[in-house]
Amino acid sequence: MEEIFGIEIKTLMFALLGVFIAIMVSIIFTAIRNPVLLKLGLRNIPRRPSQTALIVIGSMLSAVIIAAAFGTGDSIHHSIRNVAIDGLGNIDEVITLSDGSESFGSPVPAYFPMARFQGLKNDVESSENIDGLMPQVVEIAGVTNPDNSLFSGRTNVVGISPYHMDGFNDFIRQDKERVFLRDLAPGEILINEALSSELDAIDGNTLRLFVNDVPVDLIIHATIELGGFAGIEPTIVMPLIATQILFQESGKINSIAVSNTGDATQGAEGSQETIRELRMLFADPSVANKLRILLNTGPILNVITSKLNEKQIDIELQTDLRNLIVELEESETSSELIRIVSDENVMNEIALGLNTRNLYEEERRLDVLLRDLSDMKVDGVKKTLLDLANLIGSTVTTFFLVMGLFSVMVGSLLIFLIFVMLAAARRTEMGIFRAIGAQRTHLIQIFVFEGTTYNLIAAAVGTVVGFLLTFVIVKAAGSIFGSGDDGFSLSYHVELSSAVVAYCLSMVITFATVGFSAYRVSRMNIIEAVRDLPESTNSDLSETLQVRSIRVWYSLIRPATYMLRSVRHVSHARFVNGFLNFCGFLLWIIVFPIWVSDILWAISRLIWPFFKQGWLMFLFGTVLMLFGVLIWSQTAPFSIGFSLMIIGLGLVLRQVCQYAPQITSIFGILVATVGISLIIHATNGHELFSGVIGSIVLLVGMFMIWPAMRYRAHPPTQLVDRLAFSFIGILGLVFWITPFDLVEPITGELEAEIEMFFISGVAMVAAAVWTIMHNADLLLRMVSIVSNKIGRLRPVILIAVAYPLSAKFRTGLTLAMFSLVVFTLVIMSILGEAFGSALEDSDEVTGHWDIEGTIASANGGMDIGHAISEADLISESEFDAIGSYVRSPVEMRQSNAENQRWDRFVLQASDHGFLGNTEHKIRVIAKGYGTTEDDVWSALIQDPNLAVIGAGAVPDDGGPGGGRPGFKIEGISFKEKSINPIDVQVLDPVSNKEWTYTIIGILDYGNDSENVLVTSKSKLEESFGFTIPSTIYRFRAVDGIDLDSVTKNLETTFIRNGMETVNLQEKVRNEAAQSRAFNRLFTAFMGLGLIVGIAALGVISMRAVVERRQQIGTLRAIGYRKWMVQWSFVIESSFVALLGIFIGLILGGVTSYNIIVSIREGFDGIEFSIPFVQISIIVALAYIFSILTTLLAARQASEIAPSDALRYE
Amino acid sequence: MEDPIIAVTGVTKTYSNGKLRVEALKGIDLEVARGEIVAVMGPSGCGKTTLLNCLSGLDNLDSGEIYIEGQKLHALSDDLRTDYRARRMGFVFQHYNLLPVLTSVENVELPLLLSGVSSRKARGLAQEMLEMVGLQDRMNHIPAELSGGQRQRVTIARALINQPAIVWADEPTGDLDTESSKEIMDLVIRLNETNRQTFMMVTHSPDVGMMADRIIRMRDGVIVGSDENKTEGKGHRF
Repeated sequence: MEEIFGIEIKTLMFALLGVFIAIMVSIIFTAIRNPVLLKLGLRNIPRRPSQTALIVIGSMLSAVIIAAAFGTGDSIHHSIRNVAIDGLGNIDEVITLSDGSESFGSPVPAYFPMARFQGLKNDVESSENIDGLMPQVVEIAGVTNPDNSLFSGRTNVVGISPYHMDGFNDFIRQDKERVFLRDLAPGEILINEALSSELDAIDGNTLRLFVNDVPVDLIIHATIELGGFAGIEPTIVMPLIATQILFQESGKINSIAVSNTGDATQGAEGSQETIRELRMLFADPSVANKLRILLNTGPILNVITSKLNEKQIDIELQTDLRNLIVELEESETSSELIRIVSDENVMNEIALGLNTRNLYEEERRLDVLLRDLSDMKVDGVKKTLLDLANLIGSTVTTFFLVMGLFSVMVGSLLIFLIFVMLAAARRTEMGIFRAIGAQRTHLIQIFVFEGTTYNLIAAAVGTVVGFLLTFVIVKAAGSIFGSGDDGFSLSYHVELSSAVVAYCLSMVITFATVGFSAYRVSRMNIIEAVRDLPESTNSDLSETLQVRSIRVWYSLIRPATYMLRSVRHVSHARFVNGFLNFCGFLLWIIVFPIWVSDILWAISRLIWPFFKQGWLMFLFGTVLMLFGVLIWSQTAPFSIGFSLMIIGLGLVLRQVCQYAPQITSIFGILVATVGISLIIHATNGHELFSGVIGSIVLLVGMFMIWPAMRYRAHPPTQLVDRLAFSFIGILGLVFWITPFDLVEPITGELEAEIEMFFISGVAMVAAAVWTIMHNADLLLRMVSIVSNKIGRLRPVILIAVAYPLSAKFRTGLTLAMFSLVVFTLVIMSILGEAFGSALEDSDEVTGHWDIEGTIASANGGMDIGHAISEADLISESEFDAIGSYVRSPVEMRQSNAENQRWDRFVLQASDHGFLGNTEHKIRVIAKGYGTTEDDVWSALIQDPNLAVIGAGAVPDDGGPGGGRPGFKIEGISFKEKSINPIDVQVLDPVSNKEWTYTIIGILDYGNDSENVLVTSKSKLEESFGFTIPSTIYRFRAVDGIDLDSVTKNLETTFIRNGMETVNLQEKVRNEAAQSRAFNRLFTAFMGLGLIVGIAALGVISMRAVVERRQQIGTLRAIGYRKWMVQWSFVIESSFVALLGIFIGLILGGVTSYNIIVSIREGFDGIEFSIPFVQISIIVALAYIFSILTTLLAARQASEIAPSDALRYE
Repeated sequence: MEDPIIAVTGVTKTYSNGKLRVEALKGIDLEVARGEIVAVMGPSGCGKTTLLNCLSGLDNLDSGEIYIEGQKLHALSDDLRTDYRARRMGFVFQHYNLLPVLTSVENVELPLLLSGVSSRKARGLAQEMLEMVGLQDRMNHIPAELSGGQRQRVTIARALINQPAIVWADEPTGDLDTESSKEIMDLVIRLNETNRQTFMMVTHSPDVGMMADRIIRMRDGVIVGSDENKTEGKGHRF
């Protein structure tokens, strides 16, 4: 893989390696300066091996996720790359005629005289980029093996010249011997392994090829390996002249294959240069001159100049644009100018610029000239595939990484939790250490030394485990999708750069977590620590504003202080210290991010106390929110800003309520009013969601009025805290749970990327956990009331629940971990089920067609009904309906719309059989064209000027496909029940013919016509003056018939026409099954986070055994039996696990519901349903493994002798 | 001694950690009468706490016999011994050993709940007991919110809530100042006089010892002396 997040992998690797080395150098530097601290840090590691093992397992999860994400991306990239390199061999580019290559369904390029090849051959004779040119005829035909009646409906027939093999690989037989085309006798062919296997044919067999319905028998000279001209799909290779005769195109070819200098891999690297060279050769100088004049006009020149300043333009493109400006200043059309105007990238960028600035007329003129510039088209086939490999690899990695972020986050929380607990265990000794003179930084260093040691091991083990996991994912995905007909198969591959990135990235993430944890640990109060008193609230305001300000200034001049210290040490002949300080200076200067982090850290410490007071957080949140709405138009800053506003407001209310509860109550009245408004709105509009949210907001408002009613002044701190923190938690949760559609009328349309899924998930879980933990006492009271009647188990339950609820921070973290993981798994399961069910409805997807037959257009002009009536294997009575159509890429634009750019789309010219029988669902019907789908389809038959359009043309308004590129209709939405008829202009790029259609309906999502304009053939046939042959036939079989057998019989019957048939019902079912299986595989990947949650409970339980040893002794002394101790631990873990699962289930369920409701607006088939079995399995696994992890500790605790426990201090 | 509540003969106990073998008790013979307050004194490491742990059934013996209320305690299974402790014994520890996550009243009612007493009844008795030890206004405070003396009073209340026959106290005033120690000992003596419960206390404090009916002196795992308190009345030496 070459890129991720738009950054080159190598750049990312070196950057991360740099940060990693910088971290390690800093640590080594500090360790050398303070070896005692290193010793103190490391001595803890071997003390408790089981704890060390658990920490390493917990810490390695980030590395596992990252390595698995990169490994999967690498494997996919490598697999596609293999197809490109092995499949194409030395063929790097293919040259075809621009016109006629895609004329209404013809899958083969148009023919041109062989002389064009000779001319090109002479032109590139001295080229350094090209080492081979091959004239080709490429056709598609049906082939059968008469010996066994096996057939291949669509076989590639490739005719090449045996005299132009320079630069291309020879053909290799299965026995590894070379075979030469020139050795073939007349009537002999080579077949590739794919065809040999499909037809069960061997050397010497005769195959029957159907060309324009005429059978031709050919003898197999040899079976050759896949790749190069032999391709990877079923292919026949034969001499060029024989092919020309066979297809009656003597003296003509339809493509030229180009081999770049070097082997298959090296050739691809030079593709860009070759394409440029060839395009320049084909460019018409007179058209290039016209382009020069057009580009020299003011508005276009302005666009070119402004493009130079755009950040996203790469250097190569910038250079071309700069050279273009220079060339445009000349009066003559130079070869350099021709080269630049022939470059698709440059011209596309200019066209895009014109479109963005609404210069539609200039754009159209540019478009017309560019079409005329060359009559030949150069496709960098290999480069396109390699780019695709990179794109897909990078997309998969990004997807896995983003979705894996939850697990990475959970892993980081575990590390944090572990260090919080390690600190708690060593609190007294750290207090003593501080009391005898250790600085806070010394404590940080001790923890960082220990943490980094764990991390070094964990990241390495995690990376290895991640790549092993990749192997499992690749194997599982391979078995789900199988080896496709296109020869693609998924193979395991991992790049070294990915290993380095995975290791360093996880190391950096974990290091940051450890650093933060260590900082928090160091903020302890010495007296409290030494006397082991409960932790009081640590006030950062104890450090004055002046001191904090000085810290900022000091961070700004940190390198200078290192330098000065270095000089001072050297002047006192302390060379080692001098050298180390000089190293510090160099580190800060060379690894600049360290210095920047240092400064940012000091600034954050300066302003943090004001953030905690609330007012600064409120202001910051307001600014961020406004920027998000007004400037960036992004959901993330808006949502984060609004959340900060809520938190800030809550903190301010906390302060105010302590002194003047009346003010809080006034605010409470306002909040309650908002709640009542929402309830009224919900009652009027019958919106349950608004009603629920309104009720919650009303309750929060009423709760805020309570302190003023009960106390005139100074309400108890506990009540004030509960009020403020509940306000923050509940309103935060309400905000994040609210579907964005409800907020959109206020904010306008804001953009959101996939990362919002992660941000909203974390925010919702944090708000829920925050609310629960700040009302833990209420929960405990509830448990107490419920457990009243349980008898002797009551004290066990009470104590089991009291412990986690008293350690709020620790429990909150664990709850957050569990909730986050369950949240993601529930969403994955529900959405997977919803999409799986929607895709499984084959009638919905196919328009209630059962079989599809595809034929080459050359054979398309047949009367299918008549042909079936005369066939032996099938009869008309087996079918309820037969329809056909042909699809062709066109360009479209909406009449009278603001955007007049031509965008790509597909035109489907259908016969009346299709239009009259298809049952594709129409989502929106235009006014005046009836109310039912039948009305619309009938209208299309009656009026050839009418059309219906696929859902892909509807702009993005929450629908699943709206965000894709291509033609979009302005001013429509799936929210509308009906639309006015819309006129669109359709341009056939081949014939340059233009038609206008009136769109009277929009198809639903989830079918096979998303990006298609469906219309009748008649208008096109009238325009062209000939019958347009259909290439795709759809059959609806009568009920109860054996579809598989009919599908097979159809293919056999129409073998002469090269028909390839597919059982659509089975295809849809298989695709839905694949979708579900992949969803489960991905859910399992996401479920890795559960391991962390479970490990967290294990760590907590083990820690609890140590911490509560004496209390266990006391309990045993006063009558606690062994089983009670055991149950106490099990119930405690159950409580945390089940509460976390509960939060995750509720939030995941609500979020999934919101997503599905949002998608349903444009996707009728999708329904919210809970996959109870899958979710029950997830819950059961999470719970059972949590308890199993706890059991070990619980058993250990119950076995402690009371006298030993009581002696323990 | 007629009908001793505690009767001990030839109790030995050895600790070993593989390298080191310590004979903590070397053949202890002892009898304690019902309602008696006994103080066990001696230098650190002489076996006082071990003796207390063995007598209360918290620890196992190597040899010897212990009868509590005529019952051979070490012949019982762990569960029965635990139940016996819950019904008939109370414990007071030097470091209070209250459950930090429970309030005073919840700590006190815990032994009753473990004995199967209903929640309502347990809560009522616990409140009464806390009133008796003078903590009626600290019932809903958790231990961290109480002073050392108050915590020890909660511990005593917990130890006495189930009307135990014997209360075992390991350095009950070890963590307290003189004033708090006196308050605690006065409380112990008052409760002893009211309820006729047997108290066996391990202590280093001569003042506490002087308040007991009898002082048993130990050295190197053996009882080296047993002195009757000849003062006018319990608690007068403080």
